[in-house]
Amino acid sequence: MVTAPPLTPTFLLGLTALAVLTYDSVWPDSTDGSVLTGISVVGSLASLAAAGWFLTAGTGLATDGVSLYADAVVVDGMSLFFTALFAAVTILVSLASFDYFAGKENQGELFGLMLLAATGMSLMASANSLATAFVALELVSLPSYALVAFLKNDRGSSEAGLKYFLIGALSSAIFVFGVSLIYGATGSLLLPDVAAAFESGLGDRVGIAGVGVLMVAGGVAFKAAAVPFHFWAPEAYEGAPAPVSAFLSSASKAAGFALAFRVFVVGFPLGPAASAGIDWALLFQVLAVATMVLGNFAAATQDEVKRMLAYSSIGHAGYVLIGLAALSAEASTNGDVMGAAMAHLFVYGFMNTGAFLFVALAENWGVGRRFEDYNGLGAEKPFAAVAMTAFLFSLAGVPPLGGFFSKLFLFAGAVEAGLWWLVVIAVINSSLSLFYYSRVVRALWFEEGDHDLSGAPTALYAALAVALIGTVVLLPGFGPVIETAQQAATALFA
Amino acid sequence: MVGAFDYAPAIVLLPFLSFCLAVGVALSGRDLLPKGGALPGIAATAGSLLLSAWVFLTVSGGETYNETIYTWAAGAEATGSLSQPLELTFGLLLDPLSAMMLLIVSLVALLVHVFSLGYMNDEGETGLPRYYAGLGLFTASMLGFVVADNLLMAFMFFELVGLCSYLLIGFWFRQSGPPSAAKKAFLVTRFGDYFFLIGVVAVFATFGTAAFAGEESFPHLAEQAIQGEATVNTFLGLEPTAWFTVVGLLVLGGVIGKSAQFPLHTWLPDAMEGPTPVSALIHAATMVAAGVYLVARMYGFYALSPTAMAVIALVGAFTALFAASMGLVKREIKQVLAYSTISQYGYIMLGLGAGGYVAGTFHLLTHAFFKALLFLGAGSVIIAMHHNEDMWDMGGLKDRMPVTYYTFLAGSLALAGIVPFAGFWSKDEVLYEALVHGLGTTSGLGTALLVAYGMGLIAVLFTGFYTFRMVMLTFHGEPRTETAREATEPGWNVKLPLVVLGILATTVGFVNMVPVKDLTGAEIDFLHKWLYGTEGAGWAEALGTSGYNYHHLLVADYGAGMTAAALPSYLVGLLSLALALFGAGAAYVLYGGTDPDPYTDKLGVLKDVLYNNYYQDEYQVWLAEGVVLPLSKAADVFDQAVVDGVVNGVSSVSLFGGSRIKRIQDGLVTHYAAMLTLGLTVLLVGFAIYGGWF
Repeated sequence: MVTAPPLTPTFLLGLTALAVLTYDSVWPDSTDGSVLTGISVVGSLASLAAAGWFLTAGTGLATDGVSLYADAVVVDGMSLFFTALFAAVTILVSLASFDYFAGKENQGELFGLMLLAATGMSLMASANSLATAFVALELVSLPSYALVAFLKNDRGSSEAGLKYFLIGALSSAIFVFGVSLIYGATGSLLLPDVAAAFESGLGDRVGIAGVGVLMVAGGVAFKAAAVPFHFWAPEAYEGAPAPVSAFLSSASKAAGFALAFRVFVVGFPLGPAASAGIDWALLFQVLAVATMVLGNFAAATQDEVKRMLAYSSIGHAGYVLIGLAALSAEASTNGDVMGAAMAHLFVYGFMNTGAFLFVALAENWGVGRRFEDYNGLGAEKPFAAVAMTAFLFSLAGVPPLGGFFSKLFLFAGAVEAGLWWLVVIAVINSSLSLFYYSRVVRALWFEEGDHDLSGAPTALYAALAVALIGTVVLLPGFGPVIETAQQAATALFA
Repeated sequence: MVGAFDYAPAIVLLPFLSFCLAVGVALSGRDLLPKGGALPGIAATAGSLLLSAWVFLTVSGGETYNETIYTWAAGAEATGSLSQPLELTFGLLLDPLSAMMLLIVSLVALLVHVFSLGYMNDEGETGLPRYYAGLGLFTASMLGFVVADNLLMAFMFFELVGLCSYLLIGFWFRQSGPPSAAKKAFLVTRFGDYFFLIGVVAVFATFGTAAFAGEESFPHLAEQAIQGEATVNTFLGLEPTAWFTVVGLLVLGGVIGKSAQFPLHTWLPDAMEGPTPVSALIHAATMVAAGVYLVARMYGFYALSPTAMAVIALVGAFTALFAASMGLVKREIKQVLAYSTISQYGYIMLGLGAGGYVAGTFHLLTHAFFKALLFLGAGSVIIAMHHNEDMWDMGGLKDRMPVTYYTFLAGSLALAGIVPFAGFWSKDEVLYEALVHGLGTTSGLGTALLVAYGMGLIAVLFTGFYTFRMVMLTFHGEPRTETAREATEPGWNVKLPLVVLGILATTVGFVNMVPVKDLTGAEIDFLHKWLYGTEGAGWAEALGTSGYNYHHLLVADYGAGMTAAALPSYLVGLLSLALALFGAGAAYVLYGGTDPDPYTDKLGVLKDVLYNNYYQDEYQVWLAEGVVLPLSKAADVFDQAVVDGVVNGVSSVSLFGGSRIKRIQDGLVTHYAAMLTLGLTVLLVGFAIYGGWF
C-alpha cells in the first residue's frame, strides 16, 4: 500500500509551479491565461484537499505531527492548517488573475512565481530548523518582489517592487544575523535543540541569544508587516497589481505568523527565556500595540481604498500579534489564544483577499482608486458591492460575520490570559476601523455616482463569490475552524 | 378524576382565545365576526364564569389547589444563605380568596361584554375587533393575575393589565383626549410598578421563592425568619422585620399606582376618556382591583409589619377622604364616579391596613358590583344623552329611563352606605375594624388607625352627599336641555346587565351581616367563615392563606401586634349610617328641587381648589417639567459635552495622529531603512536594559 508523504500538500504546490513553468516554456508567447489558471487552481485545490484530508481524516498528523529530513521539517496540525489557508488564498488569487492579467504577457511567470511563493509559505509553516526557515522565507520573498513589480511598464509597480526588495533585503539580513547569533548562543539550528539549550541555561550567552531572538522577531515582523518592519507594506500593496496585493497581504502575512508561532513557541520556550531576561511575550505586546495603533490610525486618514486596505492589513497584523503577546509560561490559555489568532488569520485570508479582489475588480473596470470614485457602485454592480460590504464589515468585526467571531475568540482568549488592557486597545482600534471601512460602504451604497462599467468578469466574480462564501459560511463553520486551530496550537505547547 | 381544578387554566385561556380570534380578524381586515367580535368575547367570558363557579363550588367543598404548572427558568446554585436555587414558575393558586375574585371578575367581564353590545355596537363605533380584542386580553390578564401562585407571575399579569388599560383607554385614538389619558395612565402606574419590580426582585433575593401559599411560600418563610426558625438574606444591614417592611412597601408602590391611591391617583379621572364599559371594567373588577387584591393575596406578609399596616391604613383613609372631597363639585357624571372609585378603594386599603382582612375583601366584593352597576348606569345615561356627560345638562331622566333610574339608585344607596344595600355592610365593617383595632392597640399603629378611622368617617359624609347630588342632578327635577327631554332608554343589552347588577348591589351585602349577627347571635357571617376556613385543618393549615392564620399573625408579638377593643358593631354602624344619611339628606335638600342652583359655586376659592383636584396634576406636571426636565437637560448637557466630547476628541486625535503617521511614510526608501534600523535599535537597547543581558 502506498502512503502519501506527509508533505504532500507542499509538494503539490511546488509541482503545480513546475507544471505551470513547463507549460509556459512550451508556449512562451501565449497571452491566454485559461490553461495556466486552470493548472494553478486545480493544483492548489489538490493541495487544499490533501491538507484538509490530513487534518480531518484521523491520520494522526494533526495531533502528533511527524518530523522529516533529520528534523529539519515537521508536518503537524499547524503546518497543515496554514497550508490549507495558503492554498485557499492561491485559488482565489489565481482565479482573479485570469481576468486581471487577461491579454498581458508573461503570465506563465506570474502563476509560476505565485505558486513558488505559496510553496515557500507552506514550507515556512513546516520549518523546524532556523536554516529551513530562512530558505523558506527567501523562497517566499524573492518571488514576491518580482510579483509586486510584475507590471514592468507601470511606474508604481516597479517602484513598489524595488522598495519592497530593498527593505526585504535589509530584513532578511537582520533575520539571518539573528539566526547566526542564536546558533552562536545555543550551538544548533534545530528548534528542539535550541529549546533544549534554552532550558539547560544559557550562561553568559544570554545577551547574544537575546539579540538573536529580537532579530529573528524582526525577520518575521517583516513578513507579517508589523511595526517597525512595516514600511514596505503600504507602498508594495498599493503599487502591486491588486491580486498580488491580496496574495501578499493575506497569505504572505499568515506565513510570517506561521513561522513566528513555531519558532518562538517551540524554539524559544517562554519559561526559560523569560527567566533569562528574554521576555519575548512582552516584545510582542509592544509590537502588537504599536502595530494596531499605527495601522488603524493611518488607515483612517487615507484617501485611496487600496492604501486604506494596506494600512488596515497592518492593523490586523497587530490583532494577530496578540496571539503571541498573550502567551505566558505554562498557562493553560496558551493554546486557546494562539489558536484564536490562527483562526483569525484563516478568516482574514478570505475577507481580506476578497476586499483586495474587489479593488482588482474596480481597477479592471477602470474606476479610480479614491473613495469618491467608488460612489454609486452598489447600484450598478450589486453583487460585487454586497460582497465588498460583507468583507469590510467582517474585517471591522461586525456580527454576525466571520471576522466578528474570530476577533471575539481572540480577544476573549487574551482577556482570559489577563491581558485585558491589550484587549481594550484592540477594541478601540477595532471601532476606529469600523469608521474607515464604512466610508467605503457609504460610497458604494449611499452616494450617487456615474460610471461606464464593462461587464462582470467571470473569474473575478467567481473568486469574489468564493471569498464571500468563505467569509459568510465561516459563521456556522466557525466551530470546526476554531477547534482545529486551537487543537493544532495546543499540540505545539505539548 | 377530572375536577374543576383541571379546567382552571381554561378560565384564563378562554378570554385569551377570544382575544386571539379578534386580533386575527382585525388583522385580516375583513368583517368576519358578527357583532365585531362581541359574541366570541361573550361566549368566552360566559365559559370563564361557568368554570369559575365550578371552581367556587369545589373550593366551598373544602378543596384547594396550589400547584406549579410550568417552570420556565431554574437556577443552578442557591445564593447567600438560601437553601434552594431560584425557580421562576407559572402556577395556579385556587383558594377561597382567588375563587371569590374569579367569580367577580368573570361575572363583571361578561356583563361588560353584553353591555358593550349596546354601548359600542348599537352606537355604530368602528374598530370593534380591536375593542373586543382589548377586552378579551384585559379579562384574561386579570384572571391570570388572580390565579397567580407567585409574585413574579402576578407581576407579569399585573403589567399586562396595565398594557390593556392603556390600549382601551386610548381606544378613540383619533381624538386628542384619549391617547393622552392612556399615556398618563400607563406612565403613572408604571411609576408605581417600578417599585413593585424592585420589590419582586427583593422578594426573590430575600427568600429565594415568590410563592404566595404553602410551607415554602415567602410569607411563611418571613414569619419563620422573624421567629428565628428560618434563615433568609436581608440587605442594607436591616433586621428581618425592618427589611420585610421595606420589601412590603416596595411592592405597595405597585399597589398604590394600580389602585389609584394618593399620590398616584391622578391617572384615574383622566381614564374616563375611554369607553364607559371599559371604565366599568377598570374600576370594578380589573385594573384598580388588582392593586388591593395583591395586598390581600400577600396579606400574610404585610401582617408581619406594623409599619406597613399603618402605611396601608393611612394611605387608604387619606385617599378615601381626599378623593371624596373632590367628588363633591364635579360636573360630569363619570368624573363623580371616578373620584368615588378612588375613595372606595381607599376604604378597601383602610380595611386591609386596619387588620380587617375580611372587611377589606368584603368591600372589594360589594364595590365590584355596585360600581360596575353605577358605571353601566352612567353609560346608559350617556347613550341617552348622546354622549353629553355634564350633569347640569341632564335632569328629570327618572321618568324617561325607569330601569336605569332604579338600578342606578340601588347602586347609589350601596355606594352611600345606606342600610340594607351592599355598601353599608362592607363599609361599616371596614370602619368598625379600624375603630376597634385603633382603640385596642396601644402602639403607634393604634394611633394611626384612629386617625385613619376619623378620616374614613368624614369621608362617609362626603360620599353620601356627592352620591345623591349626582342622583338628583341626573334623574330628578326638570330636564334642563332638549336632549334630556327626549332621552329614551337603550335596549335589552343595556338593561339586562343593569338589572343583574342592581339585584347584586342590593343583596350581596347579606353574605356578611356582622352587626345583625352581633344583635341576634345568628351565625350569618358567611364570607367571614368562607375566608377563615377551619382553624388548624384543611386548606387553612396547608396554604396559610386563611383568615385564621392572618388573625394569628396580626395579634402575635412578632407580627403587627394588634389588639381589638370590645365594641358592639351595630353602634359603630349606626354612627356611620347617620352620617351617610345626613350627607345624602343634605344633597336631597340642596339639589332635590325642580330647578336646583349650583350651590357648590358658593364655596368660592375652595370650590376651585376642589374642582382642580387640589392642583395635583399641576404639581405633578411641575415635578416633571420643573425638576425632572432640568435634570434630564443636565444629563443631556453632560452627554453632549463630556461623553460626546470624549468620543469626538478620540476621533479627532485619531485623525490627527493618523495624518502624522501618514507623513512618516514619505515614499523615500532610505528613510524607511533608517527608521527600521532605528526602531530595531530602540527595541534592542530597551530589552537589553530591561532583561539585563549584558
